[in-house]
Amino acid sequence: MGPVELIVRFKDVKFTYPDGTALYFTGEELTVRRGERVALLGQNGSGKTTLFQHLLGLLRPESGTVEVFGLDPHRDFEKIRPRIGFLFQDPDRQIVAPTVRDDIGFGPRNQGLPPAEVDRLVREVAAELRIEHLLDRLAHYLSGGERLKVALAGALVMRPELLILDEPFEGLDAASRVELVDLLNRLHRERGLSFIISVHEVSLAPLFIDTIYVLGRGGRFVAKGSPREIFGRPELLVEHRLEPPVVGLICQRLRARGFDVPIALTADEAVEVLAGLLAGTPAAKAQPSDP
Amino acid sequence: MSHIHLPDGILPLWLVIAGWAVTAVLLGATLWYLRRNPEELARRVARLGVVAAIMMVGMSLEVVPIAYHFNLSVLAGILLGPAAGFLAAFVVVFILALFGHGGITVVGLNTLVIGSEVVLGSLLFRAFGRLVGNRPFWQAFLTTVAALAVSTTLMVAIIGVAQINPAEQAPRAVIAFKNPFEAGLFRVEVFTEEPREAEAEGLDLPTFAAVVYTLGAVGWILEGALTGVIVRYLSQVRPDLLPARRVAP
Amino acid sequence: MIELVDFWAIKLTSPVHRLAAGPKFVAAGLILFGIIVSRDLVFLLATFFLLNGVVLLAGLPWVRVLVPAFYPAVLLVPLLIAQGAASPLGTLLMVGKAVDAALTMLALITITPYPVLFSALRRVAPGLLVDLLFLAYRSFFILLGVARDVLTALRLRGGLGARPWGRWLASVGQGISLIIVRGIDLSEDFGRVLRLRGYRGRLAAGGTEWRLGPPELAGLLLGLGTAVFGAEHLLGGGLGAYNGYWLILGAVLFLVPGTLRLFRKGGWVRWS
Repeated sequence: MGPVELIVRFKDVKFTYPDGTALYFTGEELTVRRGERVALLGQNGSGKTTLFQHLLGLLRPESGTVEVFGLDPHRDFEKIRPRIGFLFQDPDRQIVAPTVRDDIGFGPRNQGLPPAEVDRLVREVAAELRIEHLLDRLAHYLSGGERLKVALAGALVMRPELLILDEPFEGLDAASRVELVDLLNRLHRERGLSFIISVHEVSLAPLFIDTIYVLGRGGRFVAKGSPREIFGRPELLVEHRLEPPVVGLICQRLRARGFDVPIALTADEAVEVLAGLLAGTPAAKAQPSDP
Repeated sequence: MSHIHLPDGILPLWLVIAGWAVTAVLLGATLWYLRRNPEELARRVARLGVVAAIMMVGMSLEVVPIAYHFNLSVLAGILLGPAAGFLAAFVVVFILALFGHGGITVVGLNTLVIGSEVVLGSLLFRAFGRLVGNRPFWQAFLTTVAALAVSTTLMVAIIGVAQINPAEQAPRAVIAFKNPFEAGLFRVEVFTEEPREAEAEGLDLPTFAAVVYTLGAVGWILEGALTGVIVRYLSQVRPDLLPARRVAP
Repeated sequence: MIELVDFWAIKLTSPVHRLAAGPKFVAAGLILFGIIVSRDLVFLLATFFLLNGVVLLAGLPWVRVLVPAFYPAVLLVPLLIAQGAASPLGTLLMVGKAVDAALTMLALITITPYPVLFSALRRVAPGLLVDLLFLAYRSFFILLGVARDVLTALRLRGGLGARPWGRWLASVGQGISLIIVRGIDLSEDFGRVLRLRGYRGRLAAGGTEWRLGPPELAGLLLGLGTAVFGAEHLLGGGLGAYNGYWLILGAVLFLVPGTLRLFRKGGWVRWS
């Protein structure tokens, strides 16, 4: 198998806002390969949204490298725009047209597609996200979860190759979060969709993420790795004001007490670890130096 | 009230058509301006639509017990500039007319009245800035009062030109009944009024103007003070929104 | 008011709501024409009854729709003061026209959702202008939520009851300033979204229904009849003999189904 195509490169980017706030994305180079699912973890003000706006071509860096599909997104905005879908933090600010049908069809209409084709695409994506019953509703009468799905449908209707999601789990209840994770996994499986997502709910990341980047204050990349590698270092997360997954934290504290256990990422893995401990397996016995 | 939305049915047809004609020409010009830079189209459309919505929200807020509504038209001119501001004025006037607030047939004339506030607001704001220096409250206050005074004068002029004379319209209030089975006609005169021709008294324009200016002046001062507070706030929080510091498109 | 009207137009499902939008516009236009050209107070009174019948038939809260219709009359006060006692009936004519015209528009907009209403304008107005209407309307609802939060915060913190009046004004001004700043943020988000989604000048596809079934034809006939009776003096006055009889009778008959609808739900129904 040949090398997988690199669709995003983001390195050493510097940007200053008009009010003087400066961000300098140093450290690791952020890359996304085709089919890869990347998460950005970072405290408030670490620059996640700024990074996304650079990838979308909305901001131009003062220095550094920003490449999407091999192109400069700011200069070649019109070329990359149809290939990227996005979901902003507040879906309400993304739904511009009056009805759900109008809003989902907005992108295809702007591409000059004939009305019949637009209608077909709208129905297809509505069926995929199970929101056909919302098509003739007005946006301001939708619930929070429904708005998110509508905004997502608008992002997916043009079959993008890359999806950018800025804290999509904010304000969702637990069931809706699980639903969204399942949906993203399904899209990845069925369409080969690559995505970059910023999250605060670290416990969800292991369920659907391949690579995690941790952003520190001011935009500095402080770590990159798989979920197991990143969450195996809870002290790193705590240092950057992120809450490690509870199951991983438990395992890490067990290790501190001398138990040789792997870092669990999910509840199922944690159960295996604890079951092993309770069964008294040699690897799980306490060491003499146990406090 | 800071201004009056003219209702349907009181102005002569020629004036209504003239209002629409002038407004249509100005709308055409401002739409052309909006489309001038395709890369800026999305940003301008979004800004214009939201500022129009802000004006509508302002009018929806009943913060004064006497049901006085703030207009924010002059502020819209300051934020958007004259061309985009005129478009926003049309959008707001039109939507309000759909809700019976101002006549739907006289949207053209009402747009010219509100539009004059917006345009003057934009132009006078810079002029008063040179006059009062770095005092955003007074700059905005004077701009608002001046713009509203001019727009009120325009509205009075429209009424004056219309030569409204209800007496000449010979209103009828005669209920007539015809029994379909008989040849006779039952006629009940509920009330009647003879149309007066020779001594037809038209609208007393000076009295009308006196009432409008007296009531209006209270509204201008309120609106002016509010706009002053808002502009002062914006000069501290978002100075880039105000003309002197706005980045040229 | 806008929020309520929008809610009524979307959520209610009366017979008049279900009428196709195109014929509704035409009927409203015809009624409006009749009102504007009329010089007959009896006609205006009959039309007032007719429009109230439409409001009742639509299942709308009658008083809440009726009250705003009198707003133009309030705005006419300076005109009426200047008019004085010169022509009381003439004055009544002006008020009657203003109120009837406002009620016609209110009746239309409370039974027709805004996307349909604005989309219909595409046939006669530039698309960009219609997009502005859509965006303004959409933004209004988002900002209304912001405004509510801000006003609540002001109220809880004593801002709306502040004295002296200068402090009150500063408080209200700051509240509105905050709504404006949030609004500008919203506009910047919308601008980004429009740009990212390749906006070319057409926000909504929407079309206007032009179905012509028996109910739509009935509505059109009603509109046409109103226009004819309103313009009766322009047509030579031949209808004068039937003026009061048919008009009052027709208007009263129209009130009946609307009133019956109110009582169908069983027992007395609040009208506001």
